[in-house]
Amino acid sequence: MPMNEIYALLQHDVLFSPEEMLALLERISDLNLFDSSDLYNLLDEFKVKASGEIVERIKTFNRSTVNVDLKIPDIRELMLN
Amino acid sequence: MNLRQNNPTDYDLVKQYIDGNHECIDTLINRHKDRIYTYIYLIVKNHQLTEDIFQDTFIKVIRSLRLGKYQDNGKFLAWVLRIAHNLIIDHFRREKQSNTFSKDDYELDIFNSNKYCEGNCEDELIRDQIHDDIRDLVQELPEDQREVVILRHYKGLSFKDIAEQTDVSINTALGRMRYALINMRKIIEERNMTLTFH
Repeated sequence: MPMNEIYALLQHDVLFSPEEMLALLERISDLNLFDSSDLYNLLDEFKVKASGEIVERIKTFNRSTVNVDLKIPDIRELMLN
Repeated sequence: MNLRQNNPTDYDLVKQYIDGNHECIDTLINRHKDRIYTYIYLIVKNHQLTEDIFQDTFIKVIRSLRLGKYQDNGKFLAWVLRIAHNLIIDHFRREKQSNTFSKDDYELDIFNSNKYCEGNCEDELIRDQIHDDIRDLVQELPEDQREVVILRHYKGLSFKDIAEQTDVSINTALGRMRYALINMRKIIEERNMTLTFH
C-alpha cells in the first residue's frame, strides 16, 4: 500500500540515516502517490502553513521576472538581487 | 458570470498563465501552498530547509510553465508535489555526499539534544532538573497524549508500534504526539520555564 511508505517517512527520526531516507524517497518516486486522496487527506490533517513572507517572495519573483529569460541557469541569483 | 469563471480550475489558471496572464500563478500558489509546504515539512522536519525547498519548487514550476514544459493532465498539484519530492531527494543526496545529517526540529529539543550527552557534575545536576521538569510536563498532558509521549520517548516505540499498541491509526498517534508537543510548548511559554543548558 503506497501510503505505508509515507507513514514510514513521517517517523524518519527512527530510520535516521540519509541512505535510508533516500531509499524510501526513491521508492515513493516509483509509486502512483502524488494524486492520491489519502495523501491529500494526510496533508490536510497535519497542515503546516507556509509563511506569508515566503509566499510573497515567490509571487514577487514571478512578477519581477516576467520579461526575463528563465533559461539562464543561475536563477537563484535573481531572487537575491 | 458562470461558476467556472468565479472558481477557475487549475487547468484554466495554468492555461491563462501560459497565455500571458501572470497573475494566475498567485491563485495557484494560494490554492496549493499549504499542502506543498506540509509535504516538504513532514519529510525534512525543519522550517528553514522547508522554505528553501518550497521556494525552489515554485521557481521550477514557474520556469517550467514559461518554457512550455508542463503537459496538463489535470493533475497540477501532483506535478508540483513531484517536483518538491525530487528536490527533497536532491537535498538528501547532498547530505549523503557531505556525510552530514541534520536532526529534525519536529520534536522538542528537550527530547533530542546532544547537549545532554556529555558534561560535568554541574551539567548533570541541571540535566536531572530538566528531566524532572519534563516528566512533570508530561504528567500534565491529557491521557491519550501522555501515553504517546511515554511510548515514543521513554519506551522508544515507533509510531507504527504505538498505533498498534493503543489501537488507533498511525495518523491518530502522530496527531496526538503533535498536540502533546504543542501543549507542552504552551505550558513552557506560559510558565516562562527554561529547559536548556546555559
